Amino acid sequence: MAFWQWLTAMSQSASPAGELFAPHWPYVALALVAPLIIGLILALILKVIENIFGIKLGGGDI
Amino acid sequence: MAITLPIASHWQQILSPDLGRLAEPVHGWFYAIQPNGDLAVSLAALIVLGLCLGLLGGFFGGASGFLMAPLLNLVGHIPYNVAVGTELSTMVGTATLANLRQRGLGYIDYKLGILLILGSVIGLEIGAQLLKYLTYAGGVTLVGRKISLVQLVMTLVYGGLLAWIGSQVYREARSARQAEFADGAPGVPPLAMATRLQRVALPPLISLPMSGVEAVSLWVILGVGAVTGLLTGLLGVSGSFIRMPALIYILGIPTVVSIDTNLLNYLVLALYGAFTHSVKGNVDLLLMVILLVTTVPGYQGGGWLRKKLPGHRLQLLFAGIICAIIITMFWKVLR
Repeated sequence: MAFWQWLTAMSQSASPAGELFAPHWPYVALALVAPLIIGLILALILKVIENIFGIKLGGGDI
Repeated sequence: MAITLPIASHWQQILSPDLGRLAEPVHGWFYAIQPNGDLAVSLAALIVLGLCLGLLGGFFGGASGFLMAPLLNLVGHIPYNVAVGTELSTMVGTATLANLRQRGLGYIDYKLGILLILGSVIGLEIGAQLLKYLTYAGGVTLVGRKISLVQLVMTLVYGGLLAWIGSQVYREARSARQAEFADGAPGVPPLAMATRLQRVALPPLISLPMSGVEAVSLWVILGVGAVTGLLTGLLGVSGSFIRMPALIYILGIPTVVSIDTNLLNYLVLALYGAFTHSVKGNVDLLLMVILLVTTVPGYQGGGWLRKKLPGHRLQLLFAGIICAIIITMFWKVLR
């Protein structure tokens, strides 16, 4: 819950209302790092499934 | 269960300021706009949407990438700039996955890759700036109803592109069906544009020894990168469906080198796209997580189905789905 509140706060513009959006830098970093980490975890999960069930899964959307 | 998307809510309030002064919530198919302007979207709808998009991607390939932003806008009323930015952040995850899963034999032409990335980043930034301009451009009155310019322009652009993709899918399905009855392979369409571009000898000409190309105009490589980058920055698609044929047919790059170089380009482009769109406030992190963890299993399911079901009949279905989406998009604008 605290993380969600922090995430919501980070996702707000740092500039006053009515001005152009100004990002908080942790928000920018998360937009890059979070999907990278999730992609790594998903690749690992697919590898584990392949090893357990002896099947070949797809390569990933391009 | 509905979840409030902070970035989508922020832009919702900018694009439709009247919605921030409501007496009671406004309900759509799968979303609700709260009296304070916050946008709450059904979690179940987003999960089903992610799975379906993944399924279509696994079954039909890259063309389904064009569906994500329009469907996010249709289903969740998510502004187009947020849909595109979030799609690009999601693409970082899928590109990481693809690079790990499809790790080839290391046939990356780094010289070609760097030049492509250079062109792509320029095109992507132009696309992202164009989207930013549209987002801040305000609204227009259409059929007695005020609508944001970004909603109108993106509906027209996506509508046109989806119509083109739908017609290509339909033609492909029809020729595959005819080939089945004629007991032969479907014909390869002539690539007149590719042949014309191959003849461009605008200096400087460079060689690509790794790919076995003796001389190619630098401008053609940068142009291919810029066009695909523009599509990525403006529409949130990977551009592989243009980049791959362009590498093989226009530049004459061997297929194996094209695949590996495209994978590298895809990851770098996704990272830069996520960066520039997050700086502009277009990435909704929660939405990105939901899309990423649902599209990947859906993609695997789509790949499995592709092996089991007859292709051309489902291609006709896909063309029908695209047609229905186009009609719904225009209905949303005009109603």
